[in-house]
Amino acid sequence: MSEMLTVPPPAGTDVAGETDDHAHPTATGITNEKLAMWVFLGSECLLFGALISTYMLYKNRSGLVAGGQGSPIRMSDLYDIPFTSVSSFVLLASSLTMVFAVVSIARGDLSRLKLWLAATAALGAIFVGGQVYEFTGFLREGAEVRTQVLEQRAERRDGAVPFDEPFVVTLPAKHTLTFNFLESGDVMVARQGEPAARMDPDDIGAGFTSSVSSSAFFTLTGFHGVHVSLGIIMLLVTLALASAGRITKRNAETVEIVGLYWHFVDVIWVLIFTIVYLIP
Amino acid sequence: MTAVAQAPHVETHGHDDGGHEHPPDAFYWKVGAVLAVLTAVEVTTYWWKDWFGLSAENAGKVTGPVLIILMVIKFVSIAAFFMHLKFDNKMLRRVFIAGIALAVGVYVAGLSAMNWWVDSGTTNFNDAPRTRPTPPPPTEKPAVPALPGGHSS
Repeated sequence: MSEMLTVPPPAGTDVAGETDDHAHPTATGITNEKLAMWVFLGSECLLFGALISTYMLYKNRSGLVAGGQGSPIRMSDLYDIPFTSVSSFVLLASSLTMVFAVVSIARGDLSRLKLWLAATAALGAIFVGGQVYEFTGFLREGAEVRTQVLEQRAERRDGAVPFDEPFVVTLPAKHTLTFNFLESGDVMVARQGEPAARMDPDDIGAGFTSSVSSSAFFTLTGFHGVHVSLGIIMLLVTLALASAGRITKRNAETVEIVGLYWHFVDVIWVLIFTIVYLIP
Repeated sequence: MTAVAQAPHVETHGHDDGGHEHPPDAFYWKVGAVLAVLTAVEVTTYWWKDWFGLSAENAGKVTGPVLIILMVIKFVSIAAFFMHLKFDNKMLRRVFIAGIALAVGVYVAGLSAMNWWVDSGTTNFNDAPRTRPTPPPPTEKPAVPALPGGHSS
């Protein structure tokens, strides 16, 4: 039994790493670290599959539909496709720079490794910044609609505007919401061409808890954003290790494994961008 | 037991498990350019309804399949080339594809159970599928004519 643990490597091969991290052979021909990352990414497919399919189920369930509640605004009413497209290109570019980082250290070029790692982290940070800007924009637009409806209700109560005059809001995706005010303070809201539903104007919004639709959207994109943020931290740590001379051609697989995670994050955004934003 | 002792040693410095060198940088630039072009085409589908005068319903039928095909091409390209799966040990490919297959299978089953294929995008969530015809409303039984002799059944 002890012979199994002390077999020397075959002649002519090199035991990688200054430390004992990659010293022992494996039965599969793949290092444990790399296999573990791929198994982890396989499990992440299940996580994001759950979040994406939940969004697909709930994306149209604003407060206007049976089974939905809360705000009448669907998240798809607020999308800014050109802006999100730029974010997509940024993340795609970061995937390319990550590839170059892996290639650089495979060739033993430490200075280029640091350059490409820094570029990847910077592009990832730009992407996350864009997401934050986009989400705060959604919150603001939902709040603006609520404010306008409440002001219109107050004007009708004051008699400044005829009570039965409807109030129409045009959302960024060119859909309209028509509000008819009730004596009780509630409103009857209808999207163009659909039946109206009664709701409290205070429920209008586009935040995390505004409706089933918005909750599903923010959960999915929020989880992805957190994954990107963690990836940025991994990149910065790798950059720090490279700067300290702890990453060399011998243990280049460390960078490759970080790269696998980053590429997966990009691949998930490819799915999210298409399914959530682009598919009608 | 000795199989482990005789396992092939893995060189982990700078090479893939199969000992493959990385392709030249130009290859990755080309793949990146292709992905960028595909992304640009995806983005343009947002305006196809206006450009080609499609109705809202037809726009979805045209752009939906195009977007899914482009999405799959991009997914496979990034996994195969950027994640190096094409050149790596086949076990890694199997592990990743197993995760994807399991996720797709489970969530297609989940969406099917929730009638998503029938009710998505409508206000008829959880209603019966439209393809099942509703039974005709019951009609009144016709009055039975009286039998000769004054008797009726």
